Amino acid sequence: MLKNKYILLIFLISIFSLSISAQNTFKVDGYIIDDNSQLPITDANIYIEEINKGTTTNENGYFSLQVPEGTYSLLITYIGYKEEKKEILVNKNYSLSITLSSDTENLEEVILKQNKSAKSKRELTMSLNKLDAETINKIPTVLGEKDVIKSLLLLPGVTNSGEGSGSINVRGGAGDQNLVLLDDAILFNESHLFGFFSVFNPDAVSSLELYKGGIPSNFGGRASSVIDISQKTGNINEFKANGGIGVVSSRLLLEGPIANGKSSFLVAGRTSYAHLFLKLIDNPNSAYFYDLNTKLNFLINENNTLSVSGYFGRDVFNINETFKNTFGNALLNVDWNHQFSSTLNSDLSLIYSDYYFGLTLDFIGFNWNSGIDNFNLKYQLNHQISDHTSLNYGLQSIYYQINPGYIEPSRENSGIEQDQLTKKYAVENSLFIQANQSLEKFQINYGLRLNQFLRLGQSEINRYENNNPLLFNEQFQIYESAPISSTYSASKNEVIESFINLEPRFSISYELNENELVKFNYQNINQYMHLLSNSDAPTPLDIWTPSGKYIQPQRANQVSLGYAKSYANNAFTLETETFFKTIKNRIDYVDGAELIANDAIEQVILNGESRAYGLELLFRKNNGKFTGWLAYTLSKSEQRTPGRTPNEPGINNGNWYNTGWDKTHDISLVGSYDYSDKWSFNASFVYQTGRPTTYPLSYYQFQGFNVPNYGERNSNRLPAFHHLDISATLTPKKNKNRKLKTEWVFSIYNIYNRKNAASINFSKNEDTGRNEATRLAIFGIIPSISYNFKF
Amino acid sequence: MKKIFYLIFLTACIACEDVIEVDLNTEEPRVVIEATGIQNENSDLGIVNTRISKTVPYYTENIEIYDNAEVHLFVNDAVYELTLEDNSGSFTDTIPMIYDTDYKLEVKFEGEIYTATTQLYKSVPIDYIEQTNNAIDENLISINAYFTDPANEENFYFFEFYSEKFGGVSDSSDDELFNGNQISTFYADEFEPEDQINISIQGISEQYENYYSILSSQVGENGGNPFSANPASVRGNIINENNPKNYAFGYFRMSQKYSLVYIVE
Repeated sequence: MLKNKYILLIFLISIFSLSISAQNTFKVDGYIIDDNSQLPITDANIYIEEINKGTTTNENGYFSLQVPEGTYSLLITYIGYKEEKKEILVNKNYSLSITLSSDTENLEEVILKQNKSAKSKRELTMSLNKLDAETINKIPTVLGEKDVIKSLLLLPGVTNSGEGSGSINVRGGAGDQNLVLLDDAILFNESHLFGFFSVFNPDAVSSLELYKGGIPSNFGGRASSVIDISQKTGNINEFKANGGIGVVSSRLLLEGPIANGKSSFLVAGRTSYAHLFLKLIDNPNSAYFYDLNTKLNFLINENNTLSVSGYFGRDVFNINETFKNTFGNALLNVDWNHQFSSTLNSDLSLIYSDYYFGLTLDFIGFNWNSGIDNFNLKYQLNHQISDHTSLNYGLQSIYYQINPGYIEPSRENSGIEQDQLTKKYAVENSLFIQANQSLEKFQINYGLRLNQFLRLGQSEINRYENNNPLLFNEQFQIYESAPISSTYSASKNEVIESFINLEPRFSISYELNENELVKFNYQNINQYMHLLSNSDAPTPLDIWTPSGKYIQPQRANQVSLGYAKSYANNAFTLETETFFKTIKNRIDYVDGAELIANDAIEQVILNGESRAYGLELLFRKNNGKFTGWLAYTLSKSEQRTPGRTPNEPGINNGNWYNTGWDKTHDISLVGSYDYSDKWSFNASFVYQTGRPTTYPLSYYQFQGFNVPNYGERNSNRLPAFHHLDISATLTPKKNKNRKLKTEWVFSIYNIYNRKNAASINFSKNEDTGRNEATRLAIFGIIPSISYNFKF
Repeated sequence: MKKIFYLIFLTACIACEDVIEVDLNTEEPRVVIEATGIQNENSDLGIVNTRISKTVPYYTENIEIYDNAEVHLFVNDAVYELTLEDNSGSFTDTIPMIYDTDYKLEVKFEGEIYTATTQLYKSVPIDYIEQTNNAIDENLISINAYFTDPANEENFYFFEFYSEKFGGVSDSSDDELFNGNQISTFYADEFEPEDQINISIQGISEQYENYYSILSSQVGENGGNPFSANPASVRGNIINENNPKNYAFGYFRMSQKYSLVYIVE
């Protein structure tokens, strides 16, 4: 309670201080614009050295500062762009417009910002919270495939359940608790090839922001994090191309003006090579993925911009026409940005997103498809109220349609029955408002998000005796599905279940002095959509399901407290954060639950809770020939699924147990050394506690099997996971004098060939008849080479 | 379906598997009772077999079969005492096969009484066998056994394929996807002409189908792959009458069985 009062006090102080404005000062304001696209740059830094004062631009690229009379040198910086310096004489209000051109030395311009909430405090946090594209480009990766999502794993608080796992776990959260947005469209599966690569073509990505905490109120719907990815906008003045050829895939990006200075296009394609991994089998088969990113941008007039962005990606597996599997995302976003004035800007987006999964097993005459699609309308206003205060407010409405599975015979003589699993429908409406205040030493963001989630009618709704879909058999001490007593139908226009929640968000940072900063944030988020998955690594065929009668919304609360310090004129920075997160209504599955093609998921789930807490450290060296960072996370992620009555054991007798991605220690060490203009070298080392798993305590024989008798869920751990990777980038000297820029990247993943266990399987060796433990290691030492170009 | 994913996954990744030493915890041994009654086609009598063993530490090579037990079967008002077969360690007897009747098994072993109750579940005949080349791997021969599922009822099946060369494989299924239709179950291996394969279809209860599918997902190659569900201890239908916490692993089931022998062409 006391703490709350303090927060209130800080609120009041900050609001009152608004009215105190300095005398004899003038306003310096203006716009920062991208030279290529002529679009405003958000979050560009403006800094006046003489008075140690700075700010960042808003969504319009607009900034304003109050300064005393005098001559100043204005420094404008933004990652991926050349810095601009401008001398100004201020003796009255001063307006200016500055164009930044991109730093053409970089082939890649992906910008990765960690935890934007802390961005605002000038130099200190600016360098702390961003990873630039050059860094991502140089981080050695498996088979040389650059991957924006996998790069996140090198940051503190971010982990996954092992190599080949498609999703990431942020601060102990589950894989389905990340809101992954590509140009505001919600992605429901972000991986290619079962998780070896992410669906984002790195060339087409302009920025990536990861929010681990302090999530602003314009985002909602996922309990743990937001990964907000923006596609690049095409160059409005000239035609450009870039691309690359790698071991796994080739990429090509084309961009240029449609009407010079008025509109632009961007098309980026990427495809892996067919027969990618399956050529070992002597058969007509293929396994490949491709994706296509497009963006059209129209500067209608000074105040109106229209952009259309799209994404289409698919993974295709085909073995002799007998096993066929296709899955992927399709997204379309039409976005209209209207500027009412220099301080008020609006953004209207109409978005469609679809995830499709199709499977044909012709040898049993089986055809399956499933998926989820949604229509999403978002209207947001960004309002600069004063030099210190801005407001973002708006509304969002999402309509979900889920096909949990449609089964049909794949050929005429098949014995498979046609069946449509009951389609599900839901609407999620939200209103949000967020205030951002920059004061002398404080930066405060606070907001509210009001959600309404409506589960709509469907064709078959199950009823159970006593409303209980899951029975506990006391005699055998096992959970059993209850028989469905009756079903009823409700129209798709009818609301059968509704939830309303108000989510407060708050974050504050305070500058102790020029080099030190403390921050605190709190967030409350409800998650209404759940991924049904009872394996540690989500698979492409996992089905999403909306909250309703039997599945309550997950409710997450998180507090975090941080401290940051810069040393030696910002050459080194240290950021530490601690967090504590609780999530209510985290479901888990009873032993042996079958989730695929299950039309009554309520028969196999138990309601529980999860929690995670930890300490994160990030120490960086920011400049010089040698740059890099050390990230360390000490954390715990666990869940608890008690029985519903004292007689029921729940899962693990109602005790807390580790989640499948709980890693006590997680260390990443990343270094980059610029040896010469021609050569640069990079290395990264990762060490993680092995992930939790379940080992057998004994075994017995039954029906000729050696049956392992497993202990409590996730009570054991795989061996520690670690690998060292290196890469070298060669930039030929001839680049300097020509338009064509090229580079070669040579890399070796897992250089000491550590056999990291992805899993350990306990089974009988058929030859010796003895029981043994078999380790599955996915990536051994993997050298690769890739070639990138740009003109 | 996840099994197929695992296969693709294995092929797709540049994976290697090797055998490692893992230190495991141990626990108090628990009794295991495997009791199966089989009715061959429509015969009036069938054989019940019961075998008693215990759990042992995971790396122990041999499992001891216990013969110091008393085993009885109660059917309606009759009691049958199962007798010890000379060399196998199994308790066995021939009993009448009656539908819609409870069969109660009682095992007295080391001072405790274990019981289990079940009924006899019917099966269907195998219509015909079709031999094809496996579509995914041409080196394999697929043996497809066709049968016709009765309409308007829920059925659960247990399939077994046995060959001298490759031993036995088994699988279970409900009829949800093919209710009332003719469908095949198949097994593919590196068969050669003249190989002899015993194929059987047995009727089982829904509970046994659940039990068996959890069990089979945790043995062999299936256990512990990255896409598999969390493994757990699997409880069958055997109760300890004296001390419920000391239940036995294993299962007591009664099944009708149709089988035939197929010679590979």
